[in-house]
Amino acid sequence: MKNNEATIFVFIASIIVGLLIAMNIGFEGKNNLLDAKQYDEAYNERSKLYSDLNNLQDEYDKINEKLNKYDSGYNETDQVKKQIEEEVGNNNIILGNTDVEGPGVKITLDDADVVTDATNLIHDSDIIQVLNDLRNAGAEAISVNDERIVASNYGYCGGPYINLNGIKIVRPFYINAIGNQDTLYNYLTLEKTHITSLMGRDVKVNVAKAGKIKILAYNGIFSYKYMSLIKK
Amino acid sequence: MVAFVGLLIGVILGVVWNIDIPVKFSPYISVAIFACIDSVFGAIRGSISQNFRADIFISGFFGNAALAVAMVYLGDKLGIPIYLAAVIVFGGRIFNNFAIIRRQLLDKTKSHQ
Repeated sequence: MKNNEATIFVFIASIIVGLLIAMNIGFEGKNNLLDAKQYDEAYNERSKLYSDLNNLQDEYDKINEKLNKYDSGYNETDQVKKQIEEEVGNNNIILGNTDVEGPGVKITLDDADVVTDATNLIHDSDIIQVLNDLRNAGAEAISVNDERIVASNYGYCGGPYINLNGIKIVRPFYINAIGNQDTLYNYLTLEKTHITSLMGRDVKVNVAKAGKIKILAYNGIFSYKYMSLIKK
Repeated sequence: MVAFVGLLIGVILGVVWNIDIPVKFSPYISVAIFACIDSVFGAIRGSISQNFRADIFISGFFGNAALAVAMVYLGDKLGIPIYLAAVIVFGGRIFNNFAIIRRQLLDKTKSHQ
């Protein structure tokens, strides 16, 4: 009898333990327990998402306000027109359709005086990687030999010259970028950037901060053939 | 044997009901599970050595779990991992009980021969 009683209790207790285990583990590949590192990561992600949320909310408010202005200001067409013009102007600045100026950095790249092998030359890929570095550092407008760099730019090596978006440019290359001077300069002189690796290749590299850089507008045409707007 | 069947039923029930414990309580439940497993081992040992007492078992089953949870909570508040004490004690006792169960079962099978 005593043994029987024990068996029953053990049985019930095992069911409870099994239940607890199943509830805790969840058996669907998800683990509720985070270790310290995962917790840290999750926490960081949460704060990042929160700040994203705030930014989006701000943006939403701004756009909503603009929309309200449009809705309520039908009789004030002038104002709406002005605002649209302002926005078009803003978009043109971003696209590169207008001449812009501002603080930034000037980079000069040139082949080495004594060329012993291909590493002493500046290649198209070097230019592209420098541009990438600049973009990464937050450059807002970039030009190479006064040729504005826009989103559709391409570049390839044409032998003695570099073909940039159909325009042949030759050495030395003057790359100008508008952005936060200090950020750009400090980023470019970091150890991991392409500029730094260029310095180790005996080519002539010069990076200088400049208070006022003028960058001319992109004078090509933006055109597209295959894409069209998605109807909402 | 009966413990394994019970465990299986419990796990299946848990999966079927699919109740999720909030992540916050997860560490508490983990230690509570450990305490419960310890009690079950104690009960099996008691039933084998014929000195099982239901009152001791039930009070131990819930009391140990509650104490363990309280310890985890206290450790959390004080910033020292007191739950390690619970884990070590329960772990040691589980192994102890298992060793005794093993010995007695082996002795029984030997004496049957």
